[in-house]
Amino acid sequence: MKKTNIVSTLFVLCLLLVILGPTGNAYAYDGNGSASYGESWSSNTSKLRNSEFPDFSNDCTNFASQCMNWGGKVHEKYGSSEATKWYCDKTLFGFTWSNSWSISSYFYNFLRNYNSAIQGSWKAPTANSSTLINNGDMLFYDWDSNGSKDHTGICTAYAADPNSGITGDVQCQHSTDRYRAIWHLKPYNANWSTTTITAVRPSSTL
Amino acid sequence: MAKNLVNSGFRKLLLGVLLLTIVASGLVGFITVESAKNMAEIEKVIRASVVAAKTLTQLPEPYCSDTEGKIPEKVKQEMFDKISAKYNEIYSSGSEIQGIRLENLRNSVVGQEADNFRSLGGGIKSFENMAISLDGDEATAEVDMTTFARLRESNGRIFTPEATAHYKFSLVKEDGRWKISKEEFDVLPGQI
Repeated sequence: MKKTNIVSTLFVLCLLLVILGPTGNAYAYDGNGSASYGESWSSNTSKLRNSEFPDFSNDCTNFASQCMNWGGKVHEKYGSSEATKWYCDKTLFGFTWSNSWSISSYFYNFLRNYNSAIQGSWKAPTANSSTLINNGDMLFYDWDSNGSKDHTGICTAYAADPNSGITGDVQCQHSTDRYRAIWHLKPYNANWSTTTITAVRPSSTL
Repeated sequence: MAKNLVNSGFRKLLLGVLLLTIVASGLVGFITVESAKNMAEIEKVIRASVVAAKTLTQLPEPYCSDTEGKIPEKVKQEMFDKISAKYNEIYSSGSEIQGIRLENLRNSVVGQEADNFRSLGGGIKSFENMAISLDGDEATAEVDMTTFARLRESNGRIFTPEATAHYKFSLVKEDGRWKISKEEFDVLPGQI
């Protein structure tokens, strides 16, 4: 009798675990969390770097990946192609990372491969804000509009850009480190008229 | 006597070599002149394409100075016509890059009214390391350029961003004129 009770209890517990437990992709992207990390690790006056990650001279996508990681996205280390892997590991001997972690066009392909939605794509964008973009969205810059992404930033707030004085959606970025730069980067971009920006919201089912 | 014959033979050989050298130089010279002409035209088109992207967005006065003002439809249409005409001269007819640049610049004109800023032009600051490869009616070219743009933003402040980039072009000769069929550039890290 006792044994039957234990078996029944275990069965019910297992059933509950199946029903209520993790269903494969329990991850939910926290755009505000990503944006918060982005604002904490960017500056207009100094070079802020998190020692848990590598530091590249062309650091924009490494930084955007860190933000997404902070926003809840777990590493995908064992994908079969560059479009399915996204990780950065700190080992005793240094760092290892996927191209999608550090190169803008690969990062874009990784996000798109996992159904991350394009919120908008603008050729020569000039509006200071857009209802289509939210905090935590990844902004991909294509300076010559040839389709290949050249640079990544992360939308972090609706605020005043401290350098240009323009109020609107602002982003944070590395390479040229910027804190709360106006998202279209027009005041800083000599090629503003040939630039295409694509906003991608990391999927919750990544 | 024998010595004279040897000398005479040697002189003839020397003259022959000299003649061949002159003819060869002439031929090489002829090709170089033609190539130089093509290269000069290619450089002109490349410079025009980059300058056009900076200057064709600039509205005429008084619309250029007033960031808050309305731009009459007629003025916008004149701008579009000017952009189309220039881009027909610069880019290969029906090429993808022509379509992309037309859309880029049209948006740049429309955006100035919608978003209360003004383009104040721009240009090329440095033009270096030009390398052109000619192959009949096709050519490729690479060059390093530092370019700048001038903008009056919606808050009245004027910005003059600069960027150095490595440019790559493919060109084709259409009706005797070199036109760009592909254009790409990589901005050096830390420029924007």
